[in-house]
Amino acid sequence: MEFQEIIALVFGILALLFVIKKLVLQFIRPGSDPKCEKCIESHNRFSRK
Amino acid sequence: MMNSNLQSHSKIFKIALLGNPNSGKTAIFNLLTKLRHKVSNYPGVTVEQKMGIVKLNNGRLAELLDLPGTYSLTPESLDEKIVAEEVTKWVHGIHRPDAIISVVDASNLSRNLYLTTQLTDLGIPVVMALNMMDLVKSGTVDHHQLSEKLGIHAAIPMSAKEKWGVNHLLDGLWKVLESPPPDCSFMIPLNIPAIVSTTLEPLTSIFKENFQYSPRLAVAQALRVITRNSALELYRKIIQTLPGLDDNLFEKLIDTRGEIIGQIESLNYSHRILEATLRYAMIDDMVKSIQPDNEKILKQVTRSEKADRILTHKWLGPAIFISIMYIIFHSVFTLATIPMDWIDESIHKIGDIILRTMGPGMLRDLLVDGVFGGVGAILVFLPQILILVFFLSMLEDSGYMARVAFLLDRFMTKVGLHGRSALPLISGYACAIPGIMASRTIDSWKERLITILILPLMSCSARLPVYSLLIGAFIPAKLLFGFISLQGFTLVTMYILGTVVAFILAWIFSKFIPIQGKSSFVMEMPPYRIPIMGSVFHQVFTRAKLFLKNAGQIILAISIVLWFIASFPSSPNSVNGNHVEDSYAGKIGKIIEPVIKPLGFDWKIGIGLVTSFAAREVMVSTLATLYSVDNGENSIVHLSSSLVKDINIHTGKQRYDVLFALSLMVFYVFAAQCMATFAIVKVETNSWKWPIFMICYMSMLAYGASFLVYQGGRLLGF
Amino acid sequence: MSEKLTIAQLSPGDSAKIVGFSGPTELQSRLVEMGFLPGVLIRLINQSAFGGPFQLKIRDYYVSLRKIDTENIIVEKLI
Repeated sequence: MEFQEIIALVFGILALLFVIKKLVLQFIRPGSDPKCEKCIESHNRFSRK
Repeated sequence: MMNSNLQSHSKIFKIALLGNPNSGKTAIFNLLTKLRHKVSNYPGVTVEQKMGIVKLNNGRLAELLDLPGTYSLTPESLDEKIVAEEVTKWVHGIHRPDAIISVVDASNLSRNLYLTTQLTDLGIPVVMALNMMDLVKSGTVDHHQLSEKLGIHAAIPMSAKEKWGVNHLLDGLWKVLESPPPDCSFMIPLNIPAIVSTTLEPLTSIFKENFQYSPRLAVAQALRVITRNSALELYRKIIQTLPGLDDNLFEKLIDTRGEIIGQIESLNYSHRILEATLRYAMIDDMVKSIQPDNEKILKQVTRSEKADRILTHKWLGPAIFISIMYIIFHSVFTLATIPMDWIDESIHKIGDIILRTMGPGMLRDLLVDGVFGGVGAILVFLPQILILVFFLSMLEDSGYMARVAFLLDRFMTKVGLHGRSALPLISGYACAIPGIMASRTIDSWKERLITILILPLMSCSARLPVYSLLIGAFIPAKLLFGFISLQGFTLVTMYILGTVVAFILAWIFSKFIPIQGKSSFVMEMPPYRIPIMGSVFHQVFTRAKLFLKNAGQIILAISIVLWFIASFPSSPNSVNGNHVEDSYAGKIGKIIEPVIKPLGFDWKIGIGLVTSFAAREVMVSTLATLYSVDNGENSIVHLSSSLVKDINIHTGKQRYDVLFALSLMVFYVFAAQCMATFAIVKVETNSWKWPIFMICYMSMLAYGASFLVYQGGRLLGF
Repeated sequence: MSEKLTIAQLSPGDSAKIVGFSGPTELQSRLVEMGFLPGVLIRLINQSAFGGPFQLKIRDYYVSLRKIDTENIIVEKLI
């Protein structure tokens, strides 16, 4: 039983770290998540005509 | 000799792919790169650049850059601006490609050649891919004459659709890469009246002196810069980036341009149409020998036109469009049942196997309740999402979307949007993020912004599992009027609700956002085509991969974390199913409960609302995990029956009913949940202001609407 | 001498030759880039309901224009 507990806890910690990482990434580097790969930097200027 | 061989061996060539929208650029990109490219997550309209690797005929490699389609290097919309900016960089030696492939639609020659003539002025070797030859009667387009008159190395006839000509294209490419043709950049081949040339002098001198442009390029740029402001704006950034330039060079450009425009107008030429007039004069001359009979071509009625007589008909058009949309959404619900049941059964079987083969313990519970229970509950909905994406991409690929923009433009402008908003908005039914990116084709800032602001209200496919679950559990499987499924009808109602409110809000927003410049609606109606099934299935597979990746990562992670906080502290008394309520998860839920109680939600839903911030569909897996943990029996729960059968210990009554289901669905129609969407809005609008505004208005809308539905329903006696 | 009218005044099925522009010039550049030049032939296909855009054939392709733009393009009807 102990063995199962250890593995379960490892998964739990990994999962928690993953969730935290995703959460933080949304704020400090928006668009770095799966989406918007190869976004051209020029679109950063939301220029009005 | 040895040295240059060594050098050329290690060099990877850079090639750029440019052309009009709908010219088959992306198909050619796919053919050239086979599978050696990073698939953009969101196929459809090309709004960002894509890079791939081409294997040239002698084994050498080249980087191929696919850019959004554009009609001219003087940009109108944001996506055209992206291309123009990139080209401006090349002209100044940044990321300059070794060759350009100009993709031209042979069935649409003159207009396509416009861009080509602009490209030949850049001083970069150009090879023409004369695509869509399958649509052209053989013998009517003389590619030798074309290449000769344009002064390019080769115009290679091909058909991306029928998959021939690619090898010749590679041959032509290799020839210009290996031995770049001499730079014939002295005189621009346009027939410019002498007096106009003289007037342009101050501007061309600035270009020649400060940027070392060739005479030909200097004239070409001068003509562009006086046509539109947006062309001048391109210089602002590049001047900042390049070293060693005069500080007030940009101001000098602005002033000189202003003066020249004044002089041109006084000569009775309109500065806005000068470049185009000159270029088309040359093109018409070129094409006259190739396509002699203009009137005959004009009178020809193509098959697409015959179809359009009905599909864009004053009354039939809109009626057919509404029917198509209804059929799509209704089918999503009904066609998916069989595969969904199959997935459901399979997951339960796997759960049972784990139960039987593993000894009791924490890991087994985690796997069965957390992983398979939680993630499994989501996987069931994959067929629905794929069917929706299938239909939407068929619509997009067939060319029908341009007709939708045509039909809806009048209505869209009345609510502050643009006909071109139609494609991004409809894409929003699959996922808001590519929709938001696709709004780059809308040339007016105000209309683009409003499109972005309301896009998330188009119920994205992540809401489908939530709607589906609630409808399946609480809406009776009856038939209205004998043939409309009540469940299907409820689903469509949710979609209509989101869409209608989106338009109302667009109208309201448009009253507050100032207009910036006029917007145009010159929109090509490409010929209808039978969707290329390869492309459609590619989109479906991409969506499937994304969904599974999401499920396998963030949803899995959340399910695991949730399982832990829902299982501890473990109460010894699991008989009356109290122990989730007493766990950490339960405690968190209870804190939120008072706020959401007026909407008919309780602490379990509260937990789900928190976890849904990662992805809307996580609500489903959250509920599944919570019920699984609670469940004394050793098996994976059936979520919909768990919801219906859930009795509140304290009141003895059923926890959830139809009114609750409607309230929660309405909440999901409006709530701001997908953080990734707002991150993209931040990137696309370059400001936190708009995403924050969206989160605020959507949250208020969600709460208010849900409140109305629940309390209103209770008042009416439901 | 055939009558000069705007595209907005044509009926579905009519063919015409462009002779010039009128009205504000901001949007003309895109029109001209797409091939709308004096001497070019067009044919009207359809108009969208409630004063919506017009669908035309120009040269060898199909395009839709807003009503307000069609009111500023002057044409000569072809028989």
